Amino acid sequence: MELRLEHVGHIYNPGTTYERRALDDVCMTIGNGEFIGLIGHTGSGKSTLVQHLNGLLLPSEGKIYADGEDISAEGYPLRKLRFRVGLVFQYPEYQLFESDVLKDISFGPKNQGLNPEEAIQRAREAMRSVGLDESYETRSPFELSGGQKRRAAIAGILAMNPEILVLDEPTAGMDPGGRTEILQLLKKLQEERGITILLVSHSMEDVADYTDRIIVMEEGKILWDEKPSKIFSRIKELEKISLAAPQVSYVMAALHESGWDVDPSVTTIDQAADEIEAQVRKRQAAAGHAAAQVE
Amino acid sequence: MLREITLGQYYPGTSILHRLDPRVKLTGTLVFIVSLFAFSSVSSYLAATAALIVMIVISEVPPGFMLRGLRTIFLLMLITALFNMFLTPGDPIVKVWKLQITREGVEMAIHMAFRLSYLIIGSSIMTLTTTPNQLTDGLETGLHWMNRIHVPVHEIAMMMSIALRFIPILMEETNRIMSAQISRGADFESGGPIRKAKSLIPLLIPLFVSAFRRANDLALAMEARGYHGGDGRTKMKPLIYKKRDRVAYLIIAGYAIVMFLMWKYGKIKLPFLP
Repeated sequence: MELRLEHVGHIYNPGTTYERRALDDVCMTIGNGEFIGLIGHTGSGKSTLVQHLNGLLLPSEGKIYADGEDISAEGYPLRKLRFRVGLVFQYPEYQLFESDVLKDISFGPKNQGLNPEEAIQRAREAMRSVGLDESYETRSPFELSGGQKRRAAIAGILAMNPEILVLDEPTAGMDPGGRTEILQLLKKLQEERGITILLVSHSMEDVADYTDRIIVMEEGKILWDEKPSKIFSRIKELEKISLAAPQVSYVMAALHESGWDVDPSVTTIDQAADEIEAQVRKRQAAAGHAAAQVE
Repeated sequence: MLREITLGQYYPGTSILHRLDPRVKLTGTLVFIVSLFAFSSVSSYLAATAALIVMIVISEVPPGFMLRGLRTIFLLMLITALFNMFLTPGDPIVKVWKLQITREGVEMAIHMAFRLSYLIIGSSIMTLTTTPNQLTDGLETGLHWMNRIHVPVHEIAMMMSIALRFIPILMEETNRIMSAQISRGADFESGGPIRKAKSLIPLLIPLFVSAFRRANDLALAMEARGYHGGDGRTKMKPLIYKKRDRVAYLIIAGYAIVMFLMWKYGKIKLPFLP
């Protein structure tokens, strides 16, 4: 499915002393199996924006079209939209409530109107895809570890078979091992099932390695919507809005400035290592050549 | 809807009312409420109205803010007034079928409407100009003598301030969990009362779990800082009466005397009733 946002604005508590503009003229289209990163520092409007994507909030200005249909239109089935655009909130483990993990994960499919067996079937599939084996099915969600709880919560959304999966800082408060596992899981979902992933984060390292496209937000506006390599070549501008490029970008930019012929737009550590190795080899070869000539 | 209740909401400011000792404000509010219910002549209402208007003006809180609190209890006031009108025995003025409106009933209804709205406005003035912390501080210091009759004043005050502090946090949490469950297709609105009650389970369980988690964290944090109840505990900002507080007490006493005298000597019947 395709979500198209046209000049979307959102104002909280309009007409009161607490009036606050959270989104301003946001235009974007998502939904063809991409892995998208949405970054911006706290208060830039990221969370408000993602709540528009499944109709939890409706735009105060502008329109949102889901497969061409205006979601603010009267009688639009917002509940159906919520099954197609899965939204995983920050700290999703705090929304677990059932007596066992399997029941909790099947809450979404049941709400979709599937019969109990189908719902359980979906829940089992979702559990497998987040890496929780059968032994967890009958355990209480409250006795799981933090990382397992989070996987169970993500599975709860996955079980609804969404076409677009939006995650608000899914790795917040997790250790590096847990972060990588969650991010790799998302990458796998995108590649194998063609789900569009929108990952909200303020960690550049997270988004750099996995995304095809990055949207940067600042004060409720979309600042850039480009490929990662292009975004991270804007080191100075990113710092101005208190964001930082991945550390690799800094290393590469510094090397480039001091005369090494490396590509400064490289974004992942692996690519950077290859670049540097190639350059070192080249210099060694040149040095060897020069030495040979002197002899 | 809950967001509209001004009772218990603080409006930041630096007016003289904001700076008064909370004990003075508590006493003043208490005296005001007693005066409303004890004396009921027209002149005493006029005096109470004058006192309220003066307080609203010097509190520097927008009057609309105070009146907003009234909106939420409007229904309660309406029901009270209706019950009073129809159920007070006395001289009937209007008779419809088996129901009758009595003169005493109308008088009572008017009294109650005034009393309730003044009660709300009066206590709103206090809560709008006093932070919850100051309020519990004032209660704790003001009721300290009850320790002697084994009332755990400090603990009660502590519980009150923690409870007050947690209201906005739990409200936010409720909103968040609700949004999260709606995203999973939960439906909190349709269906009969039983289905509706059942649909609250996915909201209430995570809410309770999180309340207990927060309570645990808070208890741990308090113990880690050596909290062990009220014995021998000193305050960073002890409440000390200043000159303005003494003047305020005098004004409150003056108000009480005026109200008493009006009640004793200035009885005027409600002019617009036969």
